Amino acid sequence: MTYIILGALTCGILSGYFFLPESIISNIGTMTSFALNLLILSVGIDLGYNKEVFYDLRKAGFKILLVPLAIVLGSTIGGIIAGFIYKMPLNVSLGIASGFGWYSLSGVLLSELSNVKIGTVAFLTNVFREIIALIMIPILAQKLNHFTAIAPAGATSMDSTLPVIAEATDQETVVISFINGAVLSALVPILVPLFYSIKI
Amino acid sequence: MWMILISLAIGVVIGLLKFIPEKHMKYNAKFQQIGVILLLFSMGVSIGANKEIIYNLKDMGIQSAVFAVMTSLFSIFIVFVVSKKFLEGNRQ
Repeated sequence: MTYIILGALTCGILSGYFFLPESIISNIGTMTSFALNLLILSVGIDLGYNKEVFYDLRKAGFKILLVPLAIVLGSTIGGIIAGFIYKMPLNVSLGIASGFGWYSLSGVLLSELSNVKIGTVAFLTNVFREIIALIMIPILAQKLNHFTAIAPAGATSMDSTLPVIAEATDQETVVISFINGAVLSALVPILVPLFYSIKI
Repeated sequence: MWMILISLAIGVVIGLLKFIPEKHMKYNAKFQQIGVILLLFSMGVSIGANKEIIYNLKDMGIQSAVFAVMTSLFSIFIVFVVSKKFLEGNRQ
């Protein structure tokens, strides 16, 4: 899937740069906003369907929700600091930070809500975050503790980085990691638009 | 913005009520993949057509790296503190 995602983006960039005339490009906007809403609908269906997460959560104990909560808080603080360095408006930096590693969704969301420049930064930020997670998970699991190994993975801790977490930690942490990923994945399509709409 | 949240809410309700039988859920996954691919393609088109982004790609890359490092670092820090204080003790 990673290759397909990068391939689609690259094909788009090349055709935007070389082939497509201005008139088509300016019309693409209405189509994408419709497509985005359909995509979000489909993401919602997935989230609603995953009722099993609630049973897992009851078994693991609701205290476990402190992990995604701490990741939201940490990402928010990190995003505010990074935004401060680059003198970005707060709503933009919070929007970028609340992708929690889900680069495809946060990229297209912010391209639509804001502009394609911010969307690109969001996309790249969350690609880098996944790479950082892949590198850091084994180190964190060994040097700090198993909970902390989930932290950089964010929303990806239920799919793309889960195998690495499973390898570096134990069965109990895998369950927590999955719950964490499910909670954060549900929060991405909620928090990105909400944070972006903050006006100060 | 509201359209996005409403679409999400409708989706969650459809999912919770299991309107779609289990064996058809694979089409939902396929649909999502195709949607993401189309949207990323169109995002790519906008990037390619926007000379400002092409020329500033290096700066934007560095900016993104700073965002990624900061969000990861503070997530690690806060999860570590929270887990030491509230979670680790009652596991052993």
